[in-house]
Amino acid sequence: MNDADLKALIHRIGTGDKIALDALYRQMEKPLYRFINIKLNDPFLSADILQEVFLDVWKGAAAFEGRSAVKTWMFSIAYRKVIDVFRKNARLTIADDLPEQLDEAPSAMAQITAAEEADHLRACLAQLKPDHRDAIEFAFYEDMSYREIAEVTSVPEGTVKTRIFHAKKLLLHCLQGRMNTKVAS
Amino acid sequence: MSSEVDRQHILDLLPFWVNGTLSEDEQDMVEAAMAQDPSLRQEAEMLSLVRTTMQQQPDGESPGELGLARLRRDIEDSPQKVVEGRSRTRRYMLSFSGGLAAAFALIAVIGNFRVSEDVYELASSNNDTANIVVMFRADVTQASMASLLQRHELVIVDGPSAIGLYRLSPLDPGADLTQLAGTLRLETDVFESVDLP
Repeated sequence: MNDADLKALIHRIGTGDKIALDALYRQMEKPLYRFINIKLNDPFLSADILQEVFLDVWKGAAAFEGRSAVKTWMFSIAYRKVIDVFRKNARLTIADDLPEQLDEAPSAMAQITAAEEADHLRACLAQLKPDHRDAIEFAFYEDMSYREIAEVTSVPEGTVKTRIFHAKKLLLHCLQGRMNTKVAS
Repeated sequence: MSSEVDRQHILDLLPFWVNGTLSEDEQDMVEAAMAQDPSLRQEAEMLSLVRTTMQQQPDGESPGELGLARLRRDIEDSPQKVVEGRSRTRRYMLSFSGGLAAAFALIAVIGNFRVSEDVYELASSNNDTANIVVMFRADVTQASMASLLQRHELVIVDGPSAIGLYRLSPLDPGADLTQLAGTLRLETDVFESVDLP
């Protein structure tokens, strides 16, 4: 379903069409839930947040002007709600201060066996600063463009690129450390 | 590359070349740079591996049809911000028939009955008549429930009630409800009961 189709659904939802809400739910529920649950790692809380997102869409659909893509709009709502959860719970993050000097040699990734890749990657993603992690997750989980990520996270496009650049470097640094691999600089 | 600045620009764009979201011009620029600089190609391969690994992680089971049923129930109490000419949501009491009525009477006898909408009233859809009232089997999976609903082009418009009833509505307003209910009654692996109001 492309953005024009999604916008047509939002328009119908704005007039109180519940069948259109069903269709939007079926289209967007899984990617939104995945995004939320990756952040919160709590299926029950994630289901509640997902519910709130769709309720916000239901209540706000008539006011949606269509200036952004529907997907971007909905992820923006979800993103803000996740940030609110983090603020309320004062969740701590670690490792914003990993050393920056590292090589970008792809061989570090190549040496990771298939069975270990996911575990190592998950552990290393968890160590990123939230801003960096968000950016790379939007890019690689959700396949968003840098323009879309900028809109969802309300930062300039240049900032998105910078965050992903640093996230990539830090990920490699972490992966190299976990694999105890010496990579030539 | 003509300069470090240009190379940095390409490095910034590489993740978005990997996820396929660059404009045509940007894509051409990145591919031209990679053709001249093998390290950029290697970087892209590495990013592609990271992306693939991330996307292969299990999603976890989303709320699915049960979440949709919950949403439909909740929107009854969530007015929209701009509503012009929309029919007012009405609430009505389900009429029960056959075994459902008997089950309900039993509940009344054992003392759980009270005349309250919380017990036996379901919020209605805009079309009160186009509904089938069902009870799912306790052991039915979310996946089989979703599959069946999609196969018969049905949506859950309300439920669960206090006694576990759901109201289903066909997407096609011209659907023959009697015939549809008959078909659903054959799905004994999924439904405990199927009734028309």
